[in-house]
Amino acid sequence: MRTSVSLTLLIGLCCPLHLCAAPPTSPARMATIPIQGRALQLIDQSLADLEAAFASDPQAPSVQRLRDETARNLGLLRQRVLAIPGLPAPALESFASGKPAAAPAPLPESVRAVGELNPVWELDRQTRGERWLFNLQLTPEDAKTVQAVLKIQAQVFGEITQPSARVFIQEKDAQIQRLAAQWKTFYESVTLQEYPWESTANGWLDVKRPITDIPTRQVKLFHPVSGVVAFQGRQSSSGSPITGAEVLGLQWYDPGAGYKPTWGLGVLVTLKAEGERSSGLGLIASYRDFKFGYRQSRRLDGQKVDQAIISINLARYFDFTPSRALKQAVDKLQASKGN
Amino acid sequence: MNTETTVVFLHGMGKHDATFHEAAWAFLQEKHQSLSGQPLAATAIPFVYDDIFESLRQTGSLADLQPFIYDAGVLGVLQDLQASDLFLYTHVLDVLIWRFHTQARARVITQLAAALSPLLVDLTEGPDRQLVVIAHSLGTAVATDVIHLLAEQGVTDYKKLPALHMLANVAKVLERPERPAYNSPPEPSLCRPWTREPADKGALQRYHSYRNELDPIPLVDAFRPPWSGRWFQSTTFKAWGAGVQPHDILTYIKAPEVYMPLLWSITLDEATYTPEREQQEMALGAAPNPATVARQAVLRDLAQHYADKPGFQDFLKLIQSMTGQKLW
Repeated sequence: MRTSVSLTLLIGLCCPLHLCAAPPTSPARMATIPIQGRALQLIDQSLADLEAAFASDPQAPSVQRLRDETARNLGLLRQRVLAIPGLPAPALESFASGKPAAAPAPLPESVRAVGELNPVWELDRQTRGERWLFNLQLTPEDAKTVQAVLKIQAQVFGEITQPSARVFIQEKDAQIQRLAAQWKTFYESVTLQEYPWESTANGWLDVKRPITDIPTRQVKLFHPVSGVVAFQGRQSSSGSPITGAEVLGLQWYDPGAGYKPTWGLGVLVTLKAEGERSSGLGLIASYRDFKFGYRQSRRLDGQKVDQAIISINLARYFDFTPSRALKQAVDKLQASKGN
Repeated sequence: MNTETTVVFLHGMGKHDATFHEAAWAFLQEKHQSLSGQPLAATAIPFVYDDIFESLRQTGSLADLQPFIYDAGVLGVLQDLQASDLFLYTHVLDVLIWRFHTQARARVITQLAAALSPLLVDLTEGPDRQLVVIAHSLGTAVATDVIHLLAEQGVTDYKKLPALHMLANVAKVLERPERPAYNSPPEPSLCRPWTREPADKGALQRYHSYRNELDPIPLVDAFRPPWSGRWFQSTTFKAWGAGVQPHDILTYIKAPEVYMPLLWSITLDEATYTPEREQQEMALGAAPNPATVARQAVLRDLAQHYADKPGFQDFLKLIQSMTGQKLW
């Protein structure tokens, strides 16, 4: 009884040239498939059957191209199976003969095949009543060569190219699933948390970015900001509330942590506060949902005032003196947000 | 051959839920039963993406989108639209979000690609597996980008998608400069028939495009690719639609010019779905329909006015006219 030799063969066995020409990836990441030792015998038998059918086919002239194309594809497939770099000779002999090797030879974990092959080895019905294979119409269907080709197609497709294709497509499918999951997270954690004008502006900036390259930074635009004054000049502030907008800023996100915001930096414009002559201008930085910034404005007497701004959630971590005023301001802002 | 077929439906503009395909699917089942005497052995799967648009609509007014529309012609149309009450119609918004909101579009494309990709993996289980995609209206533009992504990522390198049916194809008018439907440069979409050359990345075995000549929507910048006729079939027909308007998916599905090739690609039943039988069905389907004369006149005028208009802004104006005249 013939023992089939199982070895792993790179999915490139039946891949078109442009894929095989791709730079090699690390072996651990390569798609590998098991292939039965019967493969070479099946190919050789198929070639012999094809020649026999064609030699005795009275309709030979009309199926010449079909025979040529099929033989070419089988030849390419055979070369690939034989041209497995790194495959130890005893294993190759055993593989080619179908007989078990004297001693089990170590097989490479993955191997790279060469050549090119028609990627879809199957019937192709592009219009009603017509069947095609290799870009050739299968007429007349009762020709011996056509029947031989159909049998070869079913066997080779079923035993060699189809399992290879399945492994390859499964890996591609897994990539698509990952990409979709990442976009879902990004869309829910970033896009839907932005104001529509921001997400649209960001989309506009990224209009030529490949869909596989999910952004990790976003532009902030007229993004409302509220906070309290933590320090004013050299003194702790009375905690007066500040409202304004981050007119232009950049926000980075961590793709490894569900696209949570990390660092951000932006230009801050705030409304005129009580006792001030002008609206304030400054910078605001953020880490996660904490914000801290610098703001400068003019008091009614014309004197410039430098202020340190912090967001409400950050203010809770500070113990200012006098802290009561700040606490009251924070409570007031939180109460108004709650309403 | 016992064929195991999956049929995917993609909806068009407006609000849709997971039952949007049921009327069309019921018609196809009934038609196959009456033509072949056999039940239609296929599974229908609706692909819904309207929920993604809806989540974006809820974040605020889409009028905010206006400052970032970088096409001066479209901006002009939007200003006209905003002056009327029609601006917030979901049809217009869907088209605007699809065309101008990069992130929502990426989310739709990747979600649907992730749903379609396992069905392409299933095709490798054997030659008796079939997959047919039916897209309607905006869904044709969506399908074009979804299938392009799958092809670009290599999912269709070995198993091409057997059949794509585009009803009221708007893939050309809704194309973006960076990814044309079929013109170049830059490189056009891979959602096109495979040339049968080993290295060609065309994603489809067959591409069917249908246009109802009484439906003005696919007339604007009509889909006319330079592809070989062998694997690309462009079909035009005339149907006013019984009880629904000419753009409706049911108007398309119920035309013999559509359901005959469609059912053939689902069943691969070459004995039933012959070209001769299609001629017979077309003769039966020529009965008068209940659409009013006035409505027909309006649609005729719109079709005449917008036929072969070149741009996206004309497409928006047409949708505005149709919503304004309650033609949906």
